[in-house]
Amino acid sequence: MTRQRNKATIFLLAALLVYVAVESAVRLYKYDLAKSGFHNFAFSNSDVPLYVLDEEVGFRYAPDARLTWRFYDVEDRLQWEQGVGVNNAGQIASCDVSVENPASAFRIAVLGDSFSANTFHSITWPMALEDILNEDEVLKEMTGQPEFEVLNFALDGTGLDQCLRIFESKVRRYHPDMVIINFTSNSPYYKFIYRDTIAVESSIAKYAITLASPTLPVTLGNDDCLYSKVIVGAPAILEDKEMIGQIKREIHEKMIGRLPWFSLYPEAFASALGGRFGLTPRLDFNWNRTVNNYDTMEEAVSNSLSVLRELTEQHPSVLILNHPLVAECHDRQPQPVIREMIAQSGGLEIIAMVDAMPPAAGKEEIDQWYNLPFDQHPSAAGNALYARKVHEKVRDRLIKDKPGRFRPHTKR
Amino acid sequence: MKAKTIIILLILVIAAGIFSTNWKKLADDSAPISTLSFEEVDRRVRSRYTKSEAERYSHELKGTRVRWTGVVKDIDEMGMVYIAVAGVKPNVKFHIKQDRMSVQERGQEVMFVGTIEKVYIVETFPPMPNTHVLLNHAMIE
Repeated sequence: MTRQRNKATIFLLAALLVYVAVESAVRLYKYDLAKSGFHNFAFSNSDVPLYVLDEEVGFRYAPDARLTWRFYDVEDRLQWEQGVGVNNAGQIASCDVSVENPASAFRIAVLGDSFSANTFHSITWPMALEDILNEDEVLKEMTGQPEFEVLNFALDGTGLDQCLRIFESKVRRYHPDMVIINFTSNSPYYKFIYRDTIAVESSIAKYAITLASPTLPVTLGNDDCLYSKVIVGAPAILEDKEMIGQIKREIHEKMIGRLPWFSLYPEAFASALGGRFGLTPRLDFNWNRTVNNYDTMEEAVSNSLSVLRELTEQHPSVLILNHPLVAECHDRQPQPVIREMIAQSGGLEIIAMVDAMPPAAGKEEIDQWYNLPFDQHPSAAGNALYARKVHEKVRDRLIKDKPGRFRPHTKR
Repeated sequence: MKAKTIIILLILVIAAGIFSTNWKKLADDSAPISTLSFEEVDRRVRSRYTKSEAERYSHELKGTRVRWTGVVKDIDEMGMVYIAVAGVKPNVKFHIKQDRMSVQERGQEVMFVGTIEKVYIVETFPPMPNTHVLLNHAMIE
């Protein structure tokens, strides 16, 4: 009996040893694979942080920040450089704002993503819209207010989930007369995200990185956090190509290092099962993982519509605009996700702004509305054009809201 | 006798493995080249921007042999070549043999053929989804 027990113990120990050996080999192999998987990447740089954590709404732009935003390609060559100004309220805007409305301005709050919080140009479309509205004496007369103020609450990379939280905790206290929700066809897919800029412990240089995450805390220790490929640091560190290379490798290694390499999780077993039976491999490093998106178009549509309905219930004058991507302008129609949203919108009015863009524009002209070939965000010309088109929609909405007060032929 | 049989069987299994791998490679290399353009792939991926849709489409396209043109943006130590087929950022990558690496220089426009292994999304910053394609059995023409 004792002999049999001994045999069983030896067998179990041997099996355990074999599994430990296999587990170690799998982990070593995965670590080596992750480490050797480094390849150069394009990145952005700013001298001071642009993104700061705001637990209520995910993040905000660092109030009163004045910085230069630079985009580098994979070979670390400067592609784009733009000064970015953030106002006292943490908005991409040239003027400070106050919660009180001393000038009794007609206030329009803009909610949206990087098409509205555009860091590629000094004039965003909401800024251009404010100028156009303030030149429109007819509209001023119609609203009975001496000026227009456009408050830009947009945050890049955010979806409609985030809009609702921003509206409730930031926008409402400014008592806007109108709210514009301006979203692209990417926005419905985005779930709520946090973002922050984190200092990196490094012997190479003093720098920080921007992380995005669906969960708190936003730290390197949280595996949900993804690197946004932003290096925050003095421009001097970017002049030394060798140093940039070292920094990039260091970031890559830090992202690998935070995976649970020494956990008791049966990684080899999970890998052998190929992710089945609820056992998912945890050490497969994916540098290109996206943050947190809805998994299907149906989910994205349903969630976005419910958020938009809630927003329209909370404010009497909401203008919902779909800002077209370049491909949508070429196709002259919005993406399926927007078409589906419009089809299921019920009483909601979702305006596909692609229909408002100049119909005779050819491919070359359309391309000039965007930062092509470098990037697909709107160009300075695109921002100006879009602001004019939104002005028309604001005008239409005001006519609709206050029909008796509009006198289109009034001359001053 | 028993040991000999096992060795022969092992050799046969290894030979079969090598043959089937090479046969698959030959089949991949000689598959007809599709007229599918990178722009069509990009359009489809962007039209339904979710990971699951991209995976489904990737599965659908796996094995399709394509011939595209682009600019070499980078070649890493492992022999992976990064090509910008649309725009200025790399969006197609594939391995080439070491001896071909010296021939290719960054910035050069090349025509290449390869078999689609995977289609996936990479986000640039500020967040903007970009379609990326990984090719197998690729060669620069």
